[in-house]
Amino acid sequence: MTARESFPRLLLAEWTKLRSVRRWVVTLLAAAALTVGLSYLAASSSRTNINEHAAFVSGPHGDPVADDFYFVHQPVTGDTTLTVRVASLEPEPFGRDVDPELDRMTRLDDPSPFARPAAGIMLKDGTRPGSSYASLMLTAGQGVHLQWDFDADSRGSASSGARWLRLVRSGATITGYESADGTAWRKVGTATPKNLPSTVEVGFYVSSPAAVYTSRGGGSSSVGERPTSARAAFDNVRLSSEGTWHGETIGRGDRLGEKGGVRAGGRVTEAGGGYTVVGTGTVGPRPPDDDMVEIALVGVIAGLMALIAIGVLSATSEYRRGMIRTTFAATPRRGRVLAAKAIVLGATSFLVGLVGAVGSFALAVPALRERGFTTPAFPRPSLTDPPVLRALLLTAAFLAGVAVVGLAIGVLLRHTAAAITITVLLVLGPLIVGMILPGTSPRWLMYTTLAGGMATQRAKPPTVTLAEPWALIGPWAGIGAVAAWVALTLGLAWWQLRRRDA
Amino acid sequence: MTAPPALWALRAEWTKLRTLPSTGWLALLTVAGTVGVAFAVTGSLDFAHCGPPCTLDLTKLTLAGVRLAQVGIVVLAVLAVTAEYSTRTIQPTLMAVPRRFPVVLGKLGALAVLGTTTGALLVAGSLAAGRAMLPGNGFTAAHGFPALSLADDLTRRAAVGTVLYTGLVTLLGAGLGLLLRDTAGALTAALALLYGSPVVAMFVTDPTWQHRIHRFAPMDAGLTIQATRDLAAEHIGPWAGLGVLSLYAAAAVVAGLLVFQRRDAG
Repeated sequence: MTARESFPRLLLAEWTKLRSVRRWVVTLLAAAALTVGLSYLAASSSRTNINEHAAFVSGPHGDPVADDFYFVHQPVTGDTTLTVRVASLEPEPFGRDVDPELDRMTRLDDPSPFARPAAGIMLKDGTRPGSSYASLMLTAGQGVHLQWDFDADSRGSASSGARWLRLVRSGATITGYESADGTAWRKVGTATPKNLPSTVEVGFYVSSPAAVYTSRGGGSSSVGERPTSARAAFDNVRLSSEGTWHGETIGRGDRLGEKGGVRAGGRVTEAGGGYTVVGTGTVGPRPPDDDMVEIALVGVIAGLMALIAIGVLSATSEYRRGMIRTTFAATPRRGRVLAAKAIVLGATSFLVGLVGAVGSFALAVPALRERGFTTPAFPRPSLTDPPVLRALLLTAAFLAGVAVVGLAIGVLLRHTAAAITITVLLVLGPLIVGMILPGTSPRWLMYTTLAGGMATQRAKPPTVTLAEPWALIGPWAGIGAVAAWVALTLGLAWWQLRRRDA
Repeated sequence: MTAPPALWALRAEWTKLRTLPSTGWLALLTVAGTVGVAFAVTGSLDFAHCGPPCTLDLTKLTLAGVRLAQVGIVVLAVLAVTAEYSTRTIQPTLMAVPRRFPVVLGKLGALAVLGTTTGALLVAGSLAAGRAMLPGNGFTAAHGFPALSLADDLTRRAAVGTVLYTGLVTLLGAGLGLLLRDTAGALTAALALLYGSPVVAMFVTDPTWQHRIHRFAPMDAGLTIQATRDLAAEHIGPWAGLGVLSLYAAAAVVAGLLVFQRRDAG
């Protein structure tokens, strides 16, 4: 018999062993059922009133966005060109501090290009918050950007001083140019906002996102905001048509201003053909940190326990019943037996996990939508969204990985109780410790332990604003940690199998 | 043969438990684990970096290790019951004492004694660790932190409660072992019951339901008794919390007993 023929046969033998123990089949089915059931229960007991705070508006694509700034504008019909020179952009000093609590928290440094104070020019589909727009701006510290519809961004020069900006509308496309001197122009990019009627509001604006403060640890997390405002000087304002400028706060800028003691809202003053504009607020995406997909997959933790038991038992039961001697007599090459076991167990667990995850998603998402997880803050997640698909597949891979770690530890220890306890603790121990540790300190724990695999359940980017420690790392880092554990424990098990008696 | 059969069975079960090689190691692991965590926690606390005002609950922090180390005693309890099935010792046991009730009562009694003894040792060790480490880190009477002492009512309640907690999780493990008769199943169920709920509570966004989970989860409710400060912030009263855990343990034991009475010793 050649090796090529025997390995599929070995796989078949291991699969037969797995499926012919009725108790295991029941446990496998129960793993999927437990996952779905717990997910549905948790979803039914979750509720959010996030949409009642009115901090969220829906953007042109239905995503939650922030649209707060001070806009000096006039309506223009048809193609048009607006040119200005941003002479300066600087932060306004903080007003009276009303929330000393924030000083005990850590200021969050958001690297997003939407999270900088900005002064620029904009074409917008009316003044309703959340409507389509394209803007070309000078940001504080991140150079020139062309942005549109709250998620698209293209980068211009890294200039930080005075800058000439120009937006040209031609039909449905808007092109942005920048210049150092007003004569030599350089193209920044082309924007294609979703809704661009023939008459749009055109003008210049200032925005300045709130400073975000966070603290986490001790099982909870809190987030606070302190509004900021910025002042910019515009001159050489040239529009291709005639009209009068009208200054206006868009969104909830006024309310932001009152809250933090910053002077209420924005304002514009004209002097000698130039304009000084003060504005506050953010123009950009504003996804809530809570992740609906993650909340819908809570039950995975229950399925995980059952799969750990199966993984460990598929190794230790052979030792307990002396079956392993028969197995090795039939296939003396022990590494191949271990590989076959790992493949069969991994594939089975992956399928069970996938059924559990997709079932949880299908049942829990409608339950969550009835309980406040609705637009604008939470657009409906769809199975075909790449992040959702990634979360479901990686979650199944996480379950399969942990089951295989259970198998390897079972081979290493040959003792059911010890192997189950150690595998369960490898997952849950770091989670519980990480919940209590403050700040971002649990990050290293998530990068190095099986608990990091929990990050696979998130469809949103990592954040430090949530209590759960696995939100600190991304899903690929999480599954990477699990893969490393699989490799390490399987390697040790293989080495032990070769040198030890059965 | 003057001793009543229950006492006789208790002695027999105690001998079995005592001579099982894993028992000593697991009990030692539980005590050493708790005391080790107590040293690590109290050694890393520092009055200079706390507050002001410093509102640390030193008793609770000193005894926190039991959250992790209870695994040892739970495994011990599960194994004490299920090992008889996997090694078939259960058949001679039942032949020697054909009336099943005394056998199982003896086993549970022996485990309860072992569990509370382990609990007493780990509490004593942890408090000693706290007394040794905390004053050196600035937690002195002058700063409003007198040395941990059983003379203090709240600390005494936390200490006694932790001893009882250890005994109750031992019974919970034994009950699940009787019920499921299978090491893997009983152990997974016990660990999921103890550690699963805090993780689920993190996901649930409704504060009412979070509160309910903390109230009715065995570990969270049972360990509320360790709190000596800011009791209003806890989700359940200290003795009521221990009551919740005893309900879990009692339910597992009663269900286990019923199943044990009716089922063949396989």
